[in-house]
Amino acid sequence: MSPLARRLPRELRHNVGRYLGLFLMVFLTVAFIGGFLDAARSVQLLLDDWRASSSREDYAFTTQFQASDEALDAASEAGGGSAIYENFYADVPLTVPGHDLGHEATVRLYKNRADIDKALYFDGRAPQTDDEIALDRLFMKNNSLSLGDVVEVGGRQLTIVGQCVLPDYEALVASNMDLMFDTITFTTSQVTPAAFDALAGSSTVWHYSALASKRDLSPKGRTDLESSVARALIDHETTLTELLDCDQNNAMTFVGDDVEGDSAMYEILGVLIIGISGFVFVVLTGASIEQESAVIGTLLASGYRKRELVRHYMAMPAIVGIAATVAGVIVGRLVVMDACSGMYYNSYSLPPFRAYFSLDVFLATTVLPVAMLLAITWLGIRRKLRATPLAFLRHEVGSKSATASASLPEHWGFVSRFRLRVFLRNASHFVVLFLGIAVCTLVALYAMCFMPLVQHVGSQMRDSVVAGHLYTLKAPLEIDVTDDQLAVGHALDLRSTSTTPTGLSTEELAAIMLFSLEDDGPGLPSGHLPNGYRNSEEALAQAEKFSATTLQADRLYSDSKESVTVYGVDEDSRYWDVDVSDGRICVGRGLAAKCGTGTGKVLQLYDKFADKTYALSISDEVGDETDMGVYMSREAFAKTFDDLTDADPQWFCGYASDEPLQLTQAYVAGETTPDDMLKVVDQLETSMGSVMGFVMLLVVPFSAVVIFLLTKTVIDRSSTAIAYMKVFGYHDREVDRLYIRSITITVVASLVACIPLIVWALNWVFLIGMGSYQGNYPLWIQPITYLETIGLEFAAYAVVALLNMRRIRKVRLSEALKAQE
Amino acid sequence: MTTSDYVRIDHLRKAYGHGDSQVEVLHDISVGIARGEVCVLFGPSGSGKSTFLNLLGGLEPADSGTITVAGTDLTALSDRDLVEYRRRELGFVFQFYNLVPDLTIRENIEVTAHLSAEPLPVDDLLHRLGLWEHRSKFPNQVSGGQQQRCAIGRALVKRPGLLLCDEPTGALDYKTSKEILCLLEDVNRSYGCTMVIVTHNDAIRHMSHHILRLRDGQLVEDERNPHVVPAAQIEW
Repeated sequence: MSPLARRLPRELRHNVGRYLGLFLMVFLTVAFIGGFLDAARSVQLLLDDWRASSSREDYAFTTQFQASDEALDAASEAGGGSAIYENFYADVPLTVPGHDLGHEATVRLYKNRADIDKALYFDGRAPQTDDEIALDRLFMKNNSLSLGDVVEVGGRQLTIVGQCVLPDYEALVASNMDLMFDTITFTTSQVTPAAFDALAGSSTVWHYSALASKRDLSPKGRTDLESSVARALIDHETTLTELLDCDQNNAMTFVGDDVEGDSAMYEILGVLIIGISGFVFVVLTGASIEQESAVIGTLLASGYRKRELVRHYMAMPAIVGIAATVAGVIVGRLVVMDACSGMYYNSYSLPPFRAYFSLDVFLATTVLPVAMLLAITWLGIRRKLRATPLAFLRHEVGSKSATASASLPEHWGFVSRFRLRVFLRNASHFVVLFLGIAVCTLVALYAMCFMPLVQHVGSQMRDSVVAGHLYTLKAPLEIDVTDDQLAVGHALDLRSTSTTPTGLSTEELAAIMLFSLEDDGPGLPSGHLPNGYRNSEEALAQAEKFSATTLQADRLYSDSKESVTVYGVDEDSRYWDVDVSDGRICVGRGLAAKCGTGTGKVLQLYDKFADKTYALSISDEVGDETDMGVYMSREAFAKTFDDLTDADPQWFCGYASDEPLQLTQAYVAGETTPDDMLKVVDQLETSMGSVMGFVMLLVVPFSAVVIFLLTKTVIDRSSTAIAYMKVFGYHDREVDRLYIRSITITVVASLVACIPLIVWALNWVFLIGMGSYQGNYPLWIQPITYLETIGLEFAAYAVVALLNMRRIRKVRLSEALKAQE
Repeated sequence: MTTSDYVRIDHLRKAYGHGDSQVEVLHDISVGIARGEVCVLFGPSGSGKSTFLNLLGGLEPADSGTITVAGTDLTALSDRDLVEYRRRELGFVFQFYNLVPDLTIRENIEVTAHLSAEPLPVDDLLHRLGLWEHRSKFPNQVSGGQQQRCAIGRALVKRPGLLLCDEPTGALDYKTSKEILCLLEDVNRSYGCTMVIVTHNDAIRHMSHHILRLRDGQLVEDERNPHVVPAAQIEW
């Protein structure tokens, strides 16, 4: 053991604040980041296991009407022997008798599953009788429902007997077009087949889930297979309304993408913080070396090698770094991981949590931080110990940079010059301080701006819903109808919802009805279906038809594709404020930003169902930064998408209306109201609120520790000068004014100066981080958020300033009286 | 000792440590120093010279006895009042100058000028101390003698009544030491401040008005020098 090593315990006692600070910095980082990464990786592995054990579907499709056995057999054959299972569902309103949920709720009913997408029960069991139901765990939690509670679904009272999760709904995404999952107003469920038949009625969605015979197909191989399946179905006169690969199904990819994105962000954050910590280690050890330069000079003059001194000065940082990492790993694994996994369990419908051991996470949270810390510290110490023995003996190490020796204008006041000298002397500390503050402020600002941003985007999205109600239809449905047409429409509605066996499929019935409308009966000139309900003259006068189709576009900052709705609207539309005359095509500014398109550019849109690509020349950008639509005239729409419209300029598939419309429900694909957009806000507030709290929990103490360590060193380095000043007759408060104010000015300047840098970085974080999410989320920060963030960081500093003032008071006069050679 | 003494010390005691390990550093010291005197304090290492100076400077509290400077009993002052006392009345000159290394020569002097309502003009002082050409340099860029001049300037600029000098020539060569002693003599004459100089250099007694000697914490010599010799003439 080197004789120098004997001073290490004394060094620790003497500088306990410094080493405690270093310990806390590394400990907090490893515990929080490591705990989070452990949780994230466990969730990923858990999902992988669950996907295998639950026979999660490889792809799924939805048909307009129930597919015939022949069509399904053909599809199965075209799909290389895919096993295709009926997985019909129906969305039905759910209420709780005697209990106001505070919002409308929809339950997606499924029959108890046995072969595919098998449910996993957290608690309870699968329904066994027709008056039982099993609901999603998270929905039950968010709505304070328990086993044994009674809910009313489609007018029938059902008792909750199971709390389950479905593997095809890891995230409760009701529609793949939804911007966000919804764990508050939407739930999946299982009921007995008989209960399903009784409850679903006309709302049944003919949904089929499939397992490919080769489950290890590449995404490309699976896409090809699914195209073959689609063609086979179309060949058998089955109209597909949706075809979704599991990798394109947001309900199944949302969690994975989220965990992956979060992990990448936390990894970057961890590397940044550990890097900053490394520089703090260097600065503090460098300060020790400066303080002990005479001793170092003596040791070098006595024959000590520099590498022996490097080893000596590395010892404490290494001990502290390793101890903090070990403690961080233990606390991270035992405490933080559960808290972090809880964040995911607040958002997603996952199977019960189980901690997995992952070697790469273990290495990333133990070996990597220690290696980074030691490497940075080693390089810093080696650099600091480069000086000659004589330079050490003469105290000529470290503090005499060119800037520190700069001449300052003599006409400046003494106090200004003194404060600037404090800054110049400690410039290297303040650079690290700036970086530390910048990273902490970045994280704090991110956490602070997230919820206001979500609310802002939510309100923009609400405003972007151009009418009080946007109805999308499965087929053109005329609402301006005569009494005769109304009667036909009503009959058609009854036929389509009838449970009376007719021997004919609903699709066949519809075809017959259409035929009768065109040739014999009181048909519509357009050949469109008549509505089965009467709407008022006022409603009819303001309702406006539109066309729409959903295609895909390449995202600028992600390999994935954005679902884009192309609208065909009236040229003189009362709802859409876009100029689509003369074949002009406009894009929303959000889409332009997200997909790198805009005025004068060509937007490529891909129809995955028809394997067709459209190239649209963009004339203008419209709307705000969340507008993700493409707009053209209905006529242009009909021509462009003639496969869909048969080039019929009268074709449409939706109504925009400020007044609610009564429509034949069997032909309504969906309804959107402005308030639907606020669900995104509610959901994000529910699921992300705790994440942001967690982030603040890390960043505030970390900021305080970084600022404390670096500013304390400034005081420590100046302790002799402070002692001189006290001897000369300076009061403590006067010393404070010189030193604390210099530091305060630097901290405030750092806080303010780093904001533009942070905003720039956050822009990239949002572009890349949110790049794989549906929709555009431009960075938007309220001015008050800047003030709040700076205020929070400053509050952390204020505590540190008080500690530093206390430290200045503790500088003893005898410090000035020590012989200094 | 007379009632007109600028500095009066009565039965001063100071010890360090506790119990068996307690060491009495100053034992029942009583002495008076007249206003404007140059008083030199001799003694071997460990005799209590520095402690004496620290007590006089209000840097440490006495265990017992009284120290009165310009009519103020230091032993009765609070910490805050002691700061005021140092601010108003004292100037310090140390063996190793104790300049703030990252302040220029001028700024080191301004550190204490800042404390006084009516400091001496810094530019005049720099000229007088022969530091004008070096005012923008840092301490490590000038010689030891120039650093000590700067330290004297720093002590002097706030017009102190009492200048405490701890081995002011201890780190300097013969020639520079003489220059510093001449400067101190000039300062004493020009500004009339009382000086207490702690030193090992016995020759300094010749330029002093009052000679004190400590040995093992006891005052063993307390004499007035009737034949003060100009600093420039003393040899060692």
